[in-house]
Amino acid sequence: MDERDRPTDADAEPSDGSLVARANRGDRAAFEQLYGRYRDWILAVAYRVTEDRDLAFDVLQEVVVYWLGKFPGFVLAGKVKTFLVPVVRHTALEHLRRRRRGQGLELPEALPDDRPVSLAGVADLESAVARLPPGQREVLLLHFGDGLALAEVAVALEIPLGTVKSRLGLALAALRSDGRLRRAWLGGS
Amino acid sequence: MDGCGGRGSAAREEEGSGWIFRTWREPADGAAASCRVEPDFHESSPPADGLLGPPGPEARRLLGRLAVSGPALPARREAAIHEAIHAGFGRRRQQVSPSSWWVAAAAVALLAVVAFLGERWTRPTEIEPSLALAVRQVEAIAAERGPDGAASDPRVTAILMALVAMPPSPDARPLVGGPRFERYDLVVDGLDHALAAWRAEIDVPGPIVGIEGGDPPFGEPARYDPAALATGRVILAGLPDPTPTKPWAPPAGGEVRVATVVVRLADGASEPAVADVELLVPHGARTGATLRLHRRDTE
Repeated sequence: MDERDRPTDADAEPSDGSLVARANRGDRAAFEQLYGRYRDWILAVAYRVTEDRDLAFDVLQEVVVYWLGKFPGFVLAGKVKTFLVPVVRHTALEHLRRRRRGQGLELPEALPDDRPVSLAGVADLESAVARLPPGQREVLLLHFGDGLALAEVAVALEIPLGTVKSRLGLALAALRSDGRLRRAWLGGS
Repeated sequence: MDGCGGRGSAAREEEGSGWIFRTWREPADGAAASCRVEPDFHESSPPADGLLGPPGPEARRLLGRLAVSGPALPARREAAIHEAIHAGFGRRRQQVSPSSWWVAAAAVALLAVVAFLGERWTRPTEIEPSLALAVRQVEAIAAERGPDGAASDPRVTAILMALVAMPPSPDARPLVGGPRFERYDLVVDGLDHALAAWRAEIDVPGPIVGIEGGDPPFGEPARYDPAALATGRVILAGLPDPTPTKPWAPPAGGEVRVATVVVRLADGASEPAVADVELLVPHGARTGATLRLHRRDTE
């Protein structure tokens, strides 16, 4: 069983499903545990979208309140992350729009996600991932970092499966453009 | 599956693009043909054609770390979130009586009282806490038995009968405690000149979750001061639309809505209030007009 699925057979860690069920019955500690489990991840996703610490904190707070409002009666249809990704992204984008309206500034133009990017010369895999266009990086991290299946990534990001595949293909193509990155990726010497 | 339907054999990469192409010659006429390989990644096996494939253990660990790599949450923020969770669960759910039957019996008794009092009931808001408790109890039953089970539960039937029999409450507050969202219009009163700019600081006992425009020519969402917001102060300002089709004059009565804010308020929070206001008419002159907050009814 994959660790990301939070199996029930672990001695200490209750599954997400059982925590949700307990929270639905009014168990605050269960929701606190869910929050503790996903807090850093929500912050990370929010920060990747906003690239602003304070906005990421605001997003986390709003997402938690939104999630809290779903109880009792919250139905966990898939993974918690599949539910949370669109919530975090929408909230983060709304905060960015709000800031843009408030400051009269335009959002920085992101690199287009549908074009290949050359990462040649970037020896460090972490830096290379950070330099990927946001859409490609998000797909890469959700799939390989968070363990979501491609179809789940498509649902979470609300984009077609083909777009997920092409973005992942472009990200991997960029990573393999450098021999050192390729070795780091595959774990070779 | 490579998206080429099994056609072609030799794969080549388009220079610098990262795309893989297969090439072949059509059997019918020998014409050269090619197809771009659509990457199709599998969890367990690396894909063909030299694509990079899934990451190794080290890279997977790195990506897992990157996926949760974000800024450290300050203690003040952490405390605010725990307070929100506490408010959401502590007040709203843990105070639900464990005895569902007791509440059902109380609801039936309430039904009898309501039926007895009939139209003589003059202060319906007095029963609002009982209504809220009944709603919470139905929620608890639904959480316990699921939606289908709750629908056939006699306790729910009894509670619903009581609810249906109750007179409507014209000024009822939200039945379930905890955070709620309210809209407040910022209305300028007593204008005798066209308003050229406005600025206001408002005391809000909760986070502002939305800023909307007002009536023309203040249709653009109001600006806010992010630096002040970071210190907990809410300072809003606005200008009329930059290119009005015709000069605007204050409407009859001198009242114009310049913005609307949406606020999230905790249960029992005080009402927002205007702390400071500055209204300017053309040429920078001041006006005696005033700005007030008006809570908009949701219905």
